[in-house]
Order: sequence, then structure tokens, then C-alpha cells
Amino acid sequence: MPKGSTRPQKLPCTNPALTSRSRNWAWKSLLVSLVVLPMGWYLQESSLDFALDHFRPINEDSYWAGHREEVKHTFIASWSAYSKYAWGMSSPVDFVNVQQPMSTLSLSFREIFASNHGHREGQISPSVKDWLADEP
Amino acid sequence: MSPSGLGWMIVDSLDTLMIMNLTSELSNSRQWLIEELTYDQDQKVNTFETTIRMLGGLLSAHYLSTQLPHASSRWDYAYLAKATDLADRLLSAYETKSGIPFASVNIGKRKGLPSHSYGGASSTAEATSLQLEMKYLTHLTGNEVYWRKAEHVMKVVDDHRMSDGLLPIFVHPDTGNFRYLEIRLGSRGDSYYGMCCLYASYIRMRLKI
Repeated sequence: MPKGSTRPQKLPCTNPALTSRSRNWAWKSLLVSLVVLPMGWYLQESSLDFALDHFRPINEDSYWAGHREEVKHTFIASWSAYSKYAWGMSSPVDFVNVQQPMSTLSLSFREIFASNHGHREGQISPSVKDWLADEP
Repeated sequence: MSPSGLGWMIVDSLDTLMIMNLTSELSNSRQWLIEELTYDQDQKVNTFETTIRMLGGLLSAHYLSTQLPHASSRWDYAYLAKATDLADRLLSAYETKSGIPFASVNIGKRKGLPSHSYGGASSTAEATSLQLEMKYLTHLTGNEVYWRKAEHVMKVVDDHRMSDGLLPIFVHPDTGNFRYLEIRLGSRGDSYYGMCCLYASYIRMRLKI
């Protein structure tokens, strides 16, 4: 810019085509937000209900009913091992003082389980049967 | 390891045995508890762990034995008797200048023992999370001492009026003051906030808000 010249002032847009376009854009934005915002609010609020819908009461939950016996047998297996190796002691098993090697201990654990629950063979779930069959 | 064993897993499993209706295992456990389990042993135990697992296990067993027909009879006080014996020994942890319990107790000698670490300070979470068991024991026995000892701990920490209710993770039994400035929502702090939520829920329930 030559020395001494003044900066031209920016004049307001008087082009009728441009002002009309801006107005249209503003109206469209307003309409879209009027639709999107309540929809977003509804989805956010109701998402908890959708999530809760997946969790039915325990007595109607077939997943839990199917696994209840498995949980019980696993607990009994753990209990049986405890009752043989650590009954009434402060810590479950003092492995340092166990004279048997761990592999023998593991075998014994399975033997206890099998002997304790042999009469319930029909009730043992397939996954527990696999575990029992998985002898080292 | 304690001289005669304390049967942590047995006591901690009593409620599960009752709920699962494992009557044979429950019978063995109950027999061991009556005939073998003694707290008259020269044994140092952690105050918090013993309260929530051993005392809590006995109290939940007592409750379930009064509710489940197969578990026991309404007049079976074996679990409650053991719980009272243990709680009386644990009370020695509260015999401090501030009322904040020591981290450990020698249950045989009935003597509270400060923590070996952190200058003898107790964990805030541990000291403030003994409420349920002690207060339920008062409810069952009518002996107010358990309630008062547990409630006093909350008063000591509350009297500090800490901003936003956030507490440092160590509190000293001698002074009742917090030690160090570290605040955590995790270990050594977590169950205090859990206990506060429990209180809030209970008050809302009572007031039917």
C-alpha cells in the first residue's frame, strides 16, 4: 500500500443474494438443531433403560441357572482341598512346608474332587469333566 | 501362623455353606468352630481384616442361621458367642488416646498394636470401615460399647472438617490427626467412601427420600 494512503473501510454486505443465503443457512441450522437436540437427549436418557433391560431378575436368568451347579461344584472342590490340606490353619495352604511336589498335590486335589463327587457324576458339568480328565 | 489355627477360610465360608445348603460341610465347620476354635492364642492379627472376615463371617452366619430353616435353629448362639468373644478382644485395638484403632491386635493378650510402618499410623480406610460389624453386634447383644467405639472413630475423622470430605490415607491413633497429605480414592482410602455411601443410602432409606 502506498505511503500516506488510508485503509479502505469494510462496508456491510449489501448483496441481496448473499444475505438471503445466510438467512437460509441460519434457519436450516435452527431446524436441524430443533430435531437433533431432543433426539440426542432422548437417546441419552433412555440408554440406561436399554442397558437395564438386559438384566432380568436372577430367578429368571437362564445363564445363571445353568451355571449355578457348576459354581457349587467348583466351590466344593476348593473346599475339599482346603479340608484335606489346611483345615483350621491360619493360611489356606503352607506350600513351603508341603513335602509333596506340586504336581502330586494337583493330582491329589483332582482325586479328592473325583472321590467326593463321584456319586454326582451325572451332575458334573462338561467343563468340569474336561478339567478332571485333563490329567498331567 | 497362629498356634492352633484360626480357621479363616472356615469362618469366612460359613455363609456360603448355608446359602448353598451344604449341610455336611456346614456341620463339620460348626463342630470345629465349637470344639476347636479358640481366640485365646498369642497371635497378632490385623484389626480390619479380622473384623470384616472373622467377625463379619460369624455375624453373617448367625444371621443366616436364624433365617434359613436348614442352616440351624433360631436358638443357635454358637456363632454369636464366638463373635462376642472375638469382638471383646478386638476392642483392645480401640484403647488409644484418640479412639482411632491400632492397625493390629494380639487377640490372646488383648493388646492393641500400632503399625510397624508409617510411624504407627493406621490406614484411614481400615480404621473407618469397622462400622457394620461392631454396630450389628450392638444390635444383637444390646451392649452399646461396640457401637460407641466404632462411632467415635467417625467423629474423630469428621471433626477435622476436611474440605470436600476427602481424607488423607493415614490417621494416627495417638493424636487422631492425619499423617502425610496423600489422598487416594483407591487403597487405604476406598472403603471409607464406601462406608459414607452406605450411610447416605441408609439415611435416604429411613427418610424415604
